[in-house]
Amino acid sequence: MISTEIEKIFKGFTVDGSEIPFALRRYNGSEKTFITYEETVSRPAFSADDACILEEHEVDFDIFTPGNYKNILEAVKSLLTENGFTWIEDGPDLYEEETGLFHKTTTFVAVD
Amino acid sequence: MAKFNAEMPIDEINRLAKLTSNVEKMMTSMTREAAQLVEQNVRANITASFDDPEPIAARIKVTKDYKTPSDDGVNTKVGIYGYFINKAGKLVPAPLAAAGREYGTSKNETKKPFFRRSFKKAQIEGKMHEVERRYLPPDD
Repeated sequence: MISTEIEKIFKGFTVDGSEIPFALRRYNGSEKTFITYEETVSRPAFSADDACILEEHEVDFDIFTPGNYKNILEAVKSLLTENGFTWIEDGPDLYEEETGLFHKTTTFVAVD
Repeated sequence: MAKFNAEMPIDEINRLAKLTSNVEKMMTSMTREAAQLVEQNVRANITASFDDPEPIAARIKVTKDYKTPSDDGVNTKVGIYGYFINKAGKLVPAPLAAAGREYGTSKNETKKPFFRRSFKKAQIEGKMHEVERRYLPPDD
């Protein structure tokens, strides 16, 4: 399961001395800086004998923070790259007025 | 000293000349037709992402074809532009509403990607090759 692997990779994820909460889809805690992740697409990557042998998972990692997300984004990218994920793209710079949080999405692909 | 002269066949020269004069027109058609294909995909995907897709659908645009001097590229963009008035009577930037649905928000909006998944690489390449075949002279 890709989510099990992702949870394992991000266990105790720390940037600039602060541990950043990490959750699937929605974070219900009280910290202002957090990361959520969600698989957006899953498709066959390799087939043989009419069966899918490898699956490609496209996963969005959403960083929410009231401050600068640059260091967090860089740490997320290097952690995922070290663990065999491939970077696809970053979303636009978003600011959410309702919560006062900056929001940056980075998308990676993993094959398993 | 040995000397060698070669002359290119006139047919081949004409073929290359035609090819060169058509390249920019071909590239423009390739990006335009591929962008129109993506636009159709966005319009098809939008219905699953929005309860009321009409305000966003009305603001999907394919731009004019344009050249970027820095990389000598030919481009056509597909995007969501402009504003609309929502049910609460508030003026909302359409790209912001689309980004909220595409990427979700920290408050209460769930992610329902419709834009990124409209760019299907194989489909776009197929369309571009189709256009290319229309412009390139057939091989003898």
